[in-house]
Amino acid sequence: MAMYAGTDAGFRSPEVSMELMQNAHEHYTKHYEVVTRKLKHAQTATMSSLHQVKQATTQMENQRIASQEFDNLKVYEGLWDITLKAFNGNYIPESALERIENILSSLPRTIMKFYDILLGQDSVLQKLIADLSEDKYRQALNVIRKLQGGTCPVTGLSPEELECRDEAQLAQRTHESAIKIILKKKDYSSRR
Amino acid sequence: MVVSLSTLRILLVDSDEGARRVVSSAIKQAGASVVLMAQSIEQAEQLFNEEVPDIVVASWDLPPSSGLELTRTLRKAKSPYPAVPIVLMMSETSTAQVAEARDVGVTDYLFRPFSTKNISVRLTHMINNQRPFIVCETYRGPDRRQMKAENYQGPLRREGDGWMVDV
Repeated sequence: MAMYAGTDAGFRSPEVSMELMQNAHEHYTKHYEVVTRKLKHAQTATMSSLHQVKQATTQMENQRIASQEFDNLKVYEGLWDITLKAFNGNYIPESALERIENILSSLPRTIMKFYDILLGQDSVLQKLIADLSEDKYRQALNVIRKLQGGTCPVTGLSPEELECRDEAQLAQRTHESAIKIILKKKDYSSRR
Repeated sequence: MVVSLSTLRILLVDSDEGARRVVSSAIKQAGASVVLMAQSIEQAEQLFNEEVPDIVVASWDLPPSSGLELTRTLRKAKSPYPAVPIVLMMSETSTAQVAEARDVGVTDYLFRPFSTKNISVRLTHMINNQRPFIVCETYRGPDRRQMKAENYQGPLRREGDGWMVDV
């Protein structure tokens, strides 16, 4: 009996399928929650940082440097605001979650010092990170990717073509947005 | 204008409670705000008639019947929304089963296991690329021709092909 490209087996028991789906989905849900919490902490850290710079500005002789710092922080403030709005109940591709985490790992020092403290204080976040089972997730994802990797015989579209449409539609839905910026891989860390 | 899943009501039909929990969570994570759930064809029919959802996501296996039977029921002329997009979740990946699903009027299918991303991509694609609904003696369902073959030489039968009735 003919099988479609991308499928290495004609049938998986419902129990095995269910377990793989559950592992993949639980990981995605936890990762989504981790990134959401990190974004909220980054937002709070940026506000604290802005407050600090504002206070220091009045004492500094070099107002121009302080003003530049302030402008940079304002860019981050806007970025968190728009990104969190895009997260509100919407699906965010795993690739975008990873890109956001990359941005969060290279924040300007002024934000990072507040951000690190907030992460350390968040026990829920620490538990979520500890619970992320990368091995089970990778295992599930490998099977799923193999199965879903073929060209759709009905539409003739490859998974990449469908995914491109998905990302383009997501970008259109959040048209002004940070996700669009993130999908274009714009590196905000270079503004430090 | 892209239609977002958040504005749609989705009916999920699966006899397995664990599957309903995981798949409904994946659909919600994909952006849908309303997911109605049924565990049998009877329950699905009742919910369908009362709530008239925008999309149906059903399992192939719905003992003692099947997702194909559910599709036939929902496509009937007396159904409140015969053209409702239907996605069938399948454990088997054979050509014969996909062809069978297509020929009873299923809009799209998803092989199990799938990820949140897979269901999000499929539902978003399906709802934003709706095909004409065909009603004829032997078939009721979305246009089965989706492939755009540039060198197609066969007969043109649809209005969209530029075919005109010679009066």
